[in-house]
Amino acid sequence: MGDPAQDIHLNIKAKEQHTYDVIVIGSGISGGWAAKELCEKGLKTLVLERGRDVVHVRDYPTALLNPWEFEHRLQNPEKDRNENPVQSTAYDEGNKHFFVSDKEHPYIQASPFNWIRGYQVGGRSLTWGRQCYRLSDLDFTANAKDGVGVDWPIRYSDIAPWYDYVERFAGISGQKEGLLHLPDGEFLPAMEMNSLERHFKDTVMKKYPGRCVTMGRTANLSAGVGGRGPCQYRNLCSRGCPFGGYFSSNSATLPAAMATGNLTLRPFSIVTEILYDQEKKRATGVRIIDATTHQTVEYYAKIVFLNASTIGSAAILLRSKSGAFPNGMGNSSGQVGHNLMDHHFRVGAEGIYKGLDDEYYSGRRPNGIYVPRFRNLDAATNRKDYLRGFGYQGIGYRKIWMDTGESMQGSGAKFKDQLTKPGPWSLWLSAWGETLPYYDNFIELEEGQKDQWGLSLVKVHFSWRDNEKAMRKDMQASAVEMLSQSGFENIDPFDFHPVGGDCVHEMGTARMGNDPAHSVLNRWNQLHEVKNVFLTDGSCMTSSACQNPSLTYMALTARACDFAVTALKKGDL
Amino acid sequence: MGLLIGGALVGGAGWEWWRLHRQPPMEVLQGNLALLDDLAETIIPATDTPGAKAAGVGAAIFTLVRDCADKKTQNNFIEGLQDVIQKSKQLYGKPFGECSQAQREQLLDSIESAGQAGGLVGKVRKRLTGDSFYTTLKKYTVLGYCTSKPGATEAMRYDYIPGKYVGSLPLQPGQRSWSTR
Repeated sequence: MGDPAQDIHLNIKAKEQHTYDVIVIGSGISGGWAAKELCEKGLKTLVLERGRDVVHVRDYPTALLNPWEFEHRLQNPEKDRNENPVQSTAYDEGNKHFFVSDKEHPYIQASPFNWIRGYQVGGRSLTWGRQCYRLSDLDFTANAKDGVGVDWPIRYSDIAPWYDYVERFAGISGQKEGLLHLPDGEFLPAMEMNSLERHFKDTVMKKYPGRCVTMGRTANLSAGVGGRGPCQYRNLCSRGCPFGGYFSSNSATLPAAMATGNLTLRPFSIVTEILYDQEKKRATGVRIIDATTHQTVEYYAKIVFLNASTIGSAAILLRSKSGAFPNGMGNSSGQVGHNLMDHHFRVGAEGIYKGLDDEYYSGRRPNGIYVPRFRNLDAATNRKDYLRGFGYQGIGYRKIWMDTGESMQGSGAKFKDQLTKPGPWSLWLSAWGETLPYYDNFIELEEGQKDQWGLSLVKVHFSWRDNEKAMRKDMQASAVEMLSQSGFENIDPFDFHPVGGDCVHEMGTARMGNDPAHSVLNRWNQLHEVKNVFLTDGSCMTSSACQNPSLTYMALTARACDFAVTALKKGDL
Repeated sequence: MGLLIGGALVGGAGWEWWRLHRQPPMEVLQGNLALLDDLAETIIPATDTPGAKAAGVGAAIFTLVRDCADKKTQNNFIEGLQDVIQKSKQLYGKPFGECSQAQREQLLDSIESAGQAGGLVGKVRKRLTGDSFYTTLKKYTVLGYCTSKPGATEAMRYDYIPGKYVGSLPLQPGQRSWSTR
């Protein structure tokens, strides 16, 4: 208000200063990739991150600490469990600073759902599990074949070159296996298996023709890539790696974007909505609230990349209401926020192996073994009790004090001797299973309840259904069977009954599809209804497959950036 | 009057509830740091490598019980400490710290075997009444020692920055385990 002339003057100036070629919302795995690709293609890029800045190496305060330097020896105090009941299930004393406070960032669980978040530059790319597997046409054709959800609008051939492209930059170590349903990539050398893992691999591949046991494929650099790494085998990745031994936005994509001179990074910027011009039928920019000053600011651009994570991105679309989009931007299909998926996991078995007593290993490998999916691949592996399948991650190890100490009886010198000797060999085998898209697993905004910035809280509805429950039985039974067939004893089947979100693989809330009536994004990750808005985080996923999904977000992001810039240059955007 | 009626109605069960849910008398814990060291040293004594006392395990147990244990477990633990003080006087006529290693081990072993309840009974009991004194003592002694510098680097092997992973190595006779993974 006040003097209109002055307001106009300020507005014009502000508008110029606040205008970029492209705005990227979020700086996690997919936002980091968008920043890198768009900056390298010459676009003036503004990255908006709702949390604080985290500078590679400088802001990894615990990375070089020894166990005895932690007051609680990496255990979570009772206070954490009470104040951060959700996040504390995922953090420890070493990486707590990369997770949000549940108190400061509330959401509503209509049904149990652990929404694990890291609001900072780099997002959850700092703390991710780093396992990287390609999807294949088994996955891209699954919905069409089963009549579930909608068909993916792309096939493996559309994304394959982009997997190549992002793998070469990110650095993925792994072993080529020639499997059609788990395609090989551009791998750095595979890490080594230990003696027990090799035994398991040899036995399983002999006794189960068609099954494969391979080294885990991980974004840990077994060889240096572009000045990063190599991995030092400390296995402390989630504290941030001062050696740049694994891929994160902070270590890899954001520095590359910064090096172009085209990047502006604005932390503490909570995007409240994407602005829409009804006449031009385009997004014109975004409105943010500064997290610290609570001031509202607008930024403008020709293109918006929304990479605020599956739930965060859906919430932003739902908040972006206008005359044209009374139910949220790009949401005429009514699918925004729906079809929320997460992998179901924490089910499998562990067994003791008697033998290999004179074998040990050295180094702390931040990776395990992988048993690619072997169910519902073809007629021979078809299951009547459930659709889709699962893969196992496994680790062979000799038990140490943290496994045996509490239950070891007695005290004195003999106890101490037992406690500090390598224990028996054990193999842990745990499954990650595909979850189907269900319309009524969804997020919505609870208009009556606001956070400290006045934004409506996210409310999550989520449950596992019959298909997941039936699959879990097989996930456990098959683990027991393979261990038993490989000579393991004292086999302990487990199922920790995780709730949604525990796997931190949320996806699906703005699915891709060919038909705008039933999907939110087209084959280029463009909003069907607003062509200059792209979503390339987990929200775009049409089905979940069973593979760890981040690599696919990276590839889809690079592909969408290439499309967007080409279209922009042709004048199509 | 109100107090009397409440007591009369709830009786023994009320006391049991109060015992677990009262504000734990942390000053008892604070006042027995030397005893915590002695208890830990009994479980993990000095041999050719440092014991729990030299590794500062008493202080670690104090911090862990204070900050990481739930209220029920804290109450059980403090009560258990007082029990140890009493028992060593009854059995050996002297404070725990002045008993021989054999006497101290015997006393702890008796507490350990008295508190055994595995399986479902143990699980239900833990949920209702928290961890027992001995469970907490063992857990935090092991954790405190194995994550201490002497425990991790002298009683076991610790590699700060391994630099590589070797999947198969012959285990040498007497070789200690890695202290981290």
